[in-house]
Amino acid sequence: MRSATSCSKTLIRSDWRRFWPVTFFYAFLSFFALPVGLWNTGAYSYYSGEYGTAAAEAVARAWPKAELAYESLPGFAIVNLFLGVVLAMVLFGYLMKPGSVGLMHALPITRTRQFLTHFAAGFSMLTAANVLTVVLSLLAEALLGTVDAVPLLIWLLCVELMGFFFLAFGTLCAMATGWLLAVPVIYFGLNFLVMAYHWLFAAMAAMFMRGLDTARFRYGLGVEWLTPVVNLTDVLDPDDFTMEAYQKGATLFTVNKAALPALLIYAAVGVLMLVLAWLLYRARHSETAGDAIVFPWLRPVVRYVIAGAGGLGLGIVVYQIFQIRATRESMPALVACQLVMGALVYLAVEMLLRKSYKIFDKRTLLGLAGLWLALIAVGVCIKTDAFRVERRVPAETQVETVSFNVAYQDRLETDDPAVIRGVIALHRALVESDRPDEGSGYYFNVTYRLKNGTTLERGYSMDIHDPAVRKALTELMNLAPLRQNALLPDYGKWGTTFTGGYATNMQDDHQVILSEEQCLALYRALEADMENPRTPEDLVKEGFACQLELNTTEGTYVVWQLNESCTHTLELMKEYGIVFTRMEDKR
Amino acid sequence: MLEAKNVVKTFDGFRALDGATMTVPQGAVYGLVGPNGAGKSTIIRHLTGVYRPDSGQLLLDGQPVWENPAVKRRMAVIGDDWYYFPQASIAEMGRFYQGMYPTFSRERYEKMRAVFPLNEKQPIRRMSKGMQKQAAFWLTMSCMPEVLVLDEPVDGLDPVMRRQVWSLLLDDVAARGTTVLVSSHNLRELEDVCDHVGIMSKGKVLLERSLSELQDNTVKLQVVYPGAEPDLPAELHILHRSNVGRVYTYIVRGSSEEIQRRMQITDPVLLEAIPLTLEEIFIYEMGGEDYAVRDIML
Repeated sequence: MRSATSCSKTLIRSDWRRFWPVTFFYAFLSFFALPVGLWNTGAYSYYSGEYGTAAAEAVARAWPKAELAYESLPGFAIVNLFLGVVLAMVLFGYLMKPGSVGLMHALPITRTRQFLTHFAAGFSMLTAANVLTVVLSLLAEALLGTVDAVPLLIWLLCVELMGFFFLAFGTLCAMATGWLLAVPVIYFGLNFLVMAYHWLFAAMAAMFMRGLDTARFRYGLGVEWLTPVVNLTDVLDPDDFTMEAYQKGATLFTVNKAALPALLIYAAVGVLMLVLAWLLYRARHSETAGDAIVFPWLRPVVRYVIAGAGGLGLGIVVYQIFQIRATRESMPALVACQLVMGALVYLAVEMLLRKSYKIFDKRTLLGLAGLWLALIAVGVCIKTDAFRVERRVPAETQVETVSFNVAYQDRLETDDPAVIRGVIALHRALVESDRPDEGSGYYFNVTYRLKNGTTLERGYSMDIHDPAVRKALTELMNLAPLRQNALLPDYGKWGTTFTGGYATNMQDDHQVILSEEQCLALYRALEADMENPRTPEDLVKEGFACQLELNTTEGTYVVWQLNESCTHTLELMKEYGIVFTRMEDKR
Repeated sequence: MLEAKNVVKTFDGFRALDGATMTVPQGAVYGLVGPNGAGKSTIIRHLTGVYRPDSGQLLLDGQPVWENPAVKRRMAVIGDDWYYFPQASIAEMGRFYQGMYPTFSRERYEKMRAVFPLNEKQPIRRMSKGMQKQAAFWLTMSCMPEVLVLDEPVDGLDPVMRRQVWSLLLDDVAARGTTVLVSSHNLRELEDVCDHVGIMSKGKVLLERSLSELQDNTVKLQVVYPGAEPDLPAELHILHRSNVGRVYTYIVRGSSEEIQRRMQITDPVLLEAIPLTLEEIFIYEMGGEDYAVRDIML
């Protein structure tokens, strides 16, 4: 007797016979990505004969193949994202029509067995295409003389795991609806739901919170993990590899270390999704074929999630398109737009769910009132900074490193506690300042890398006449690392034995050759200028359009611009007969 | 024996089946009739394990049908919207049915080739509605089911093919004792083939009897009185009364002999009992359910 959980060979054969074009198309794409790519890579052999030793030559030959396999993985994450939903749609599409569901559920086979069989058929289809790709790739390698199976087997493992996850995800989405076209809508909606909401909140925060803009919103770890394709394309992107680094002891080109653990976690989530999908399959009624959402308990969730995102997003679009704000951003105006657009989306979703235009009853109005309350709550929370996003300044003990720039200075990244303290003090002064952020030209952009692995990024336009801001800024820019960074960003890096150099007037490209002695003297003058006290005004003082290149045996110091505070250097240059024109005021 | 016991099913608040109870005896050809929306297709989908009831039982020889492959292997169904895989031909669907039903007979499948003038390699979707119905019979009867459930089975078939199909079914019943449950609006046709009838209305099976019992239990009387219509005996259960001049027609529930004996006291000039057709029984029974032909002037 057949087990209730074993697969039906007849159904599997039927699925294969009907849906093989999906597998064929996927295999066709894979064929060009790997076997053809490997053939081309091997045929050109452009890395051979350059590295001397036989071992290095072997690595040089193996590397492009491994590179091709591993670097194709992010692309295959995207392909599998689509493949998962397409397979789920074709395999479980019979649930969406009364006739087909009648045929399939009248068959002498349990629902559990049907579910498992269809899923197994789908997984076997993508596995067959993947295995075929590996076999053809090995064949291509064999024809070229060397077979390196390991990268291809790792590739196979990775695409199988991600294929399983996305197929399980698609299957779960198919179980929620009785409408074929709703499957991809739900699938892609869920795939990008968290990121979409994150972006919407970020867009609103950027409008109403100082120090924030959408570009500065980094996706937290949770957002990336809950947006699988984004996370996978990120973790599957392999580290760079060069033969030079390899010869210095770096690891041979391999898949990103974070990739396999991430894929295993997603595969485990896929198993959970599959179990959930199976429970939903057993619970769903055949007569729900044609319903947008087949489970009544799921309908409010769908209604609010879609209407919420639609209201927030379309509200922002309408607010921006019609320039509803006057001179400054207006939260009431934005919320009003969101309420109108949210109501429209809510009513549209309600019509779809009820399959009727007659939706204006007490239940709808109560639901709409709930949505409006939620949208107003979002606006109020952002306006009042209820979650302390705008006012957030990390404690010194939380910060691993800080990367920042002030006005037009080069960006400095450091773990120097004194600098971190100075940056935090300036950041705090800016947060506590009640002066409006209106583009003064004194920009302060900062990115903290925190010890918990996250980053915090803010950007301000400073009012240097605010006493607290001015004090914190002056103290920060007079710290030694900042003074060095302002003049000689590579100070101390290349040594002080100079071989010569150039001074170039950037306005007319006039160039003066510097002797060894002149270079050393200029270097000392720059060191002396680093000790000059600096004021915030120095940040935007007119500069001299000059480029100094001081060559040492180990590298080159480059100074791009001097300003009036560089008294020692300018005096010395005058002695050497080097006169620079002033730059335009950058402001 | 195929049974539905007190089955209730609600769709979005609408009670499609409201305690429906019916019994299809083994080897019977059971005609299920009822007005549109009575719940015939719904109960058929329950009996074939497609729908799950809110409450009640669906049984085949005492075994539940729901999620029971052993029971479903013995049943085959042609629904009102018989489905086939979009690209499939009869041959391909035949292989599918053969894999699903252990009783599928390749020998019968080959024999049926002579019955149905169809190209078994042609995609079914390219066939006419009537040809698709023939294909459904070809495949379903090749499964050699013990129970055959048919929902509006001969819709779209030409008269010759209708007769052919019924002949095949009745041969199967006679030869193998196949139980047939058939739902149809064509009562004249059902009358020729059914030996049992169930009448459904508003989600309930109002009555189910053998056809002979049903016909014996309702009588159409044509009576002529010498003068005005006299008072009729109070104990007569009259379903319908009409007259044309002095000719009165009564539809009366009860046995023909007993009713004629009681009517003698009204001293008729002429008293004649005429057997009712299934269609007439249906119409008069449904009249009691407030589902009668209405005289509406447009």
